[in-house]
Amino acid sequence: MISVVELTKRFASGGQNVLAVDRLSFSVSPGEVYGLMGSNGAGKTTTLRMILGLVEPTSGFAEVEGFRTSEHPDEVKSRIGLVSTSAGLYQWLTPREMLLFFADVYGLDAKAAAQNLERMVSWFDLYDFLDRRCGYLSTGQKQRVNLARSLIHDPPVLLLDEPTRGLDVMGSKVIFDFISAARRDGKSVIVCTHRLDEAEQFCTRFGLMHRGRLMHEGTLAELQAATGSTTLSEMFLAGLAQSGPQEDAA
Amino acid sequence: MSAPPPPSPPAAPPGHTRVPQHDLGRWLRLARKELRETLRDRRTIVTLLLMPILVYPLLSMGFRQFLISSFDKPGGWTFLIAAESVEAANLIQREVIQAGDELLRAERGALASAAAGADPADSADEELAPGEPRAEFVHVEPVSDLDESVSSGKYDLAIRLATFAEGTQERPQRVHVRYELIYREGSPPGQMLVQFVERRLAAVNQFRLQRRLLTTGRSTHIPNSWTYNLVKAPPNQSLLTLVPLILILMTITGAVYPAIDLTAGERERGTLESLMAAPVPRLGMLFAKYVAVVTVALLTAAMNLTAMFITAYSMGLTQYIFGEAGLSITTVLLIVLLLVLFAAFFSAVLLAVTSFARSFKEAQAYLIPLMLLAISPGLFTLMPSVEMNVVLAVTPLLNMVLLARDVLHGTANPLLAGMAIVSTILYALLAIALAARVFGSDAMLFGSQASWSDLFRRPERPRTAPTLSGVALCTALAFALQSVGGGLLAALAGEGASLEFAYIGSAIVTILLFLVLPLIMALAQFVPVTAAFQIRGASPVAFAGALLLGLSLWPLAHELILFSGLIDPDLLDKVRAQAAEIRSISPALLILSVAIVPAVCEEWFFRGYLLGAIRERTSAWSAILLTALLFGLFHVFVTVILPVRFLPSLSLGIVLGYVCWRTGSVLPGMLLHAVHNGLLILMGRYQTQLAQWGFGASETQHVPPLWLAAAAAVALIGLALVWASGRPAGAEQKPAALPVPS
Repeated sequence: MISVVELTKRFASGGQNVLAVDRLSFSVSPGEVYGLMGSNGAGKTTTLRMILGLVEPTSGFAEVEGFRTSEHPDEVKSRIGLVSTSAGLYQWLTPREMLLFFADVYGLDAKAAAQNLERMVSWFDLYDFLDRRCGYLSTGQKQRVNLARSLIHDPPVLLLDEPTRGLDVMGSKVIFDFISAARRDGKSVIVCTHRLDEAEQFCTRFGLMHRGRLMHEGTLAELQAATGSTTLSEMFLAGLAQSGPQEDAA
Repeated sequence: MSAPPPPSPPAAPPGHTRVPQHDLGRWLRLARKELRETLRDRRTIVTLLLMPILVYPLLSMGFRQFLISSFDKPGGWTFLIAAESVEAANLIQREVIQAGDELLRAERGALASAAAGADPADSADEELAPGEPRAEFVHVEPVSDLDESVSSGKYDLAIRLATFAEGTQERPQRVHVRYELIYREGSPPGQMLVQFVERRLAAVNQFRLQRRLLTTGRSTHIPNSWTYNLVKAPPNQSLLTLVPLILILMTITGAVYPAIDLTAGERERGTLESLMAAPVPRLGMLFAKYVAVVTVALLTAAMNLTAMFITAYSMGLTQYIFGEAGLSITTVLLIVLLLVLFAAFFSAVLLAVTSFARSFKEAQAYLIPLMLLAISPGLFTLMPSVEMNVVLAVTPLLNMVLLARDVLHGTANPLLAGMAIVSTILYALLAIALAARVFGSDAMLFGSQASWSDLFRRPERPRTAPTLSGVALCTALAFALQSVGGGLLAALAGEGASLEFAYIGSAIVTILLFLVLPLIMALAQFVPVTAAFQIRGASPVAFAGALLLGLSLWPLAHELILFSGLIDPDLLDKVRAQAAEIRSISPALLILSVAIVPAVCEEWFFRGYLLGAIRERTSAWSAILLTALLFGLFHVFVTVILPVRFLPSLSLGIVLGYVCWRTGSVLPGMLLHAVHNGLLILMGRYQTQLAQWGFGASETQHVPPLWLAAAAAVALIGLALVWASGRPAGAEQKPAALPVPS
C-alpha cells in the first residue's frame, strides 16, 4: 500500500524557486498498477524519489506499508524495488555477484539470498550469463539483471521509472510481463511513463500529471467519463490545452 | 488470440532473516564487493602492477646512464678532494691523480693494442672505468678541517696523509704513505672518488714494486696503503629524506583512481541511485569504499616500494639511500607503518573530495590542485630548520611529512609523534564523515544545484536524535581543534604568560568546542536541544547517587594514576609538576576551569550528544563503552600528561555513561563529574595543608586500604541509588515502537 499526501517539492534552479511537485495526493493498493503519467518535467520522477526517500519533500509526506518515508526511511526502502532504465550495473561484477550484493545490502541473510537468487535466475532466465561479467552483457540481458536486482529482496512495492525507454519490442514485452506478474502477485506498483499507449495495456488506474500537479485521476473508464475523451493521449492533450501558464515558478 | 499470461514468480520464502544494518560483518562484505570490483578493473591493475614493474627499472637505468654520461663528458661535474695542507694537496695531485692516472692509461693502452693493434693512446683515453670521473675534473684543495669539509658536503672526499720514513734524521727517506680516505655516508660522488683513488694507488703500488723488483731483484715494502673513515651524514642530507615525499606520491597514485571510481564513478555508471535506494547507511557504504581505497593505496604503495627496493638493490643503490648499513628490518617496518598512516589519510581525503563530484571529469578537476597541494609539504622534509612542534604536529599533512622524516632519522619526539598520529587519524575520520554526509545526498544524486552548503542544510522536520555522521564530524572537529586551540593559546600567551591565562583560555576553548560546536551542529541538523543533549529532569535519588559517586571515586582515580605510573615512571613526574603548578592558582578559578566547565561541557558533549547518537544504533553498553573510550582518548590528548590520564578517564567515562543511561539525563552526571574533578583539584591545591592535618597523601603514595574500602562502599551505595532511580519515561533513546504495518 502506498499513500501520498499533499506531497510538495520546491527546489532552486538557476536562481529560480521551482515547484516540481505541487500538493500531490494519491494512493495505490496491493495488486494495483498505478500509471503516473505526464510529459518530461511533469514531476513524475521527483515524486517517485520522494516516496523512496531519495529526495526530501518540502511538505507533505509519503507512506509505504504504513511507514512514513521521512521517519522510517530504511523501513520504506526495504519494502520497495526500484526499476529505472537509467540504472546501470557494476560492469566488473557478474550478475550472481551483483544480485547477492544487493541481497546483502537489503539485509537478507545468506540462505534467504541464495533462495531468492535461485528464484530470480529462474524467473528471468539468467542461467546462460549468470557468471559472466555485466560489462559483457547485451542490452536485453542487462535489463533482465536490473529487473532481478529490483526484486531480489521480494519487495511488496515496485516503483518503475520509464521502464521501457530505449527498449525494443521484445525488451518492452519483458517489462509488460514483469508488471503483470507483479500485479497478480499482489504488489503495489507505480509506473512512471510518458508512453500513454503502453500504459493503457497494463495500468489499472492512472494519474495524469502536468507541471507538478495531478490533472486527472481514475480508471480508464472513469477518466473517459470525466473528460469525454477516448484515449489517454486525447485526455492529456485536452488537459494541456486547458492548463494556464506556470504560476508557481517564482 | 492472446498469449497465455506469463507464470508468476515462485512465492518468496516466508520470514526472511534480515541482517542488522550496523553488523560489522556486513560492512566488511560490502568492502569486499568494492575491493573485488576495483581490483578487477584493468585500470587499477595498470597502476598497481605494470607501473612499478616498468617505471622503476627504466628510471634507475636512466639515472645511472645520466650519472655515467655526466662524469664522462668534458665539462662534466667537478669533484673536490680536501687535503690537510698545500703540500699534502700537491702530493695527492702528483702521486695519486697524475701518476696513477698515467699508469692506468698506459696499462689499458698496452692491453688494448695487444688485443687489436690500435693506437694505445686513443684506446686508453676511451677506456676509463664506467662512471668514473676523469682526472682533469678532480681537484685537490687544502682545508683546515678535513672531517667537517666532508660532513658539510662541501667536499666529496678528504684524504689525511701519514708518512712513515726511515734513514737518518739528516736524510730521511720516505718509505710508506698511509692514505685515510674520509667520505660521507650515502654520498655517491664520495664513493666514486674512493674507488678512483683506490685504483690509482693500486696502480702506483704495482708499478713501484715491479720497478724495485727489476732494479734490485727483490720486492721490499709496499709504498702506499689506505684506510677508510666513514663520516655520518647530517639527517637532512640523506636520500632517506625523500621517503616522505615518495610515500605521498605513492599513496595518492594508488588511491586516486579507486576513490574516483567508487564515488563519482557510481553516479556516472548509474548505479548510485540503486545503491541509495537500498536501506544501507551512508556511513557504512563509505566505510566499505574507504576500506577498498585504503587497500588499493596500500597495495600500490607496497608494489612501488618493493619494485623500488629491488631496483635499487640490483643497481647497487641501496647504500646511497639507506646509508652504509643498507636497508634494515626496522626501517622497513617503520616505512610500512608510515605507509598505513599516509594511505589512511589520503584515502579519506580523496573520498571526501570525489564525493562532491558528479562525474569522472569533475573529480579529476578537483584532484589536480589537491595533489599539488599534497606534494608541496613533502618539500618541508628537505628543510632541516623546520622542526616539529605542537602546532605543526596537528597541522594536516605537514605533521605526517615531518613525522616520517623524524621517525626515519630516529629523531622523533614521542609526544609530538603521538599527537601527529592521532590528529591525522582524526582528520581521516573527519574526511570520511564529510564524505558520508555528501555521498549520495539528493543534490549529488540528481545534480540539482548542489553546493558545498548542502553539507549544512537543515532538514524540513525535527530529528529525534543527532545523525551519526554529524556526530562523527563534530567529534573529529572538536578533538582536532582542541589541540590547535591549545597550541594557539600557548603561542598567544608566549613564555611569560600567567598560569591563570592558560586555565581561563583552556576553559574557553572547552566551552567553544564541546558546548557551542555541538549545539550549532544539533541546531543545524534540526535536533531539539533537549533530545540532542539529553537535558531531562532526574529524580532526587539519582542526584543523591551521583553525588555519592562524585565524592567516592577519587581514590580509585588516584590508584589508577599510580598504576599508569608503574608502566612509565616519567609520567608521575609530570603529575607532580602539575600538582605543584596549581598551588599558585586561586581556588575559585580552579573550581571553575577544572571542575565546573569541564563537567558541564564534557557531559553535554560525551554523554549528551555522543552517547545519545551512538545509542540510537547500538546497544546501551556498546554505546557507553565506546563513549568512554573516546572520553579516555580525549583526556590523553588534551593534556601534556598523556597516557596517565587514560585509565582514570576511561573508568570515569564508563560510570558517567551508566549514570546517564540509567537516569536518562546528563544532569546527574554533571554533578558527579564536577564533584569528582573539584575534589581532586582541591586536594592537590591544599595538599600541604591537608598533610599538616594528617589527612591526605602525596601524589605518588597509595591511598590507605581502609580509605579505599570506605570509598568503594560509598561508590557502591551511589551506584545502587542510581540504579534504583530507574529509567524515567521518555528517556529511551530508541524511537518509539514502529507503526504497525497496515
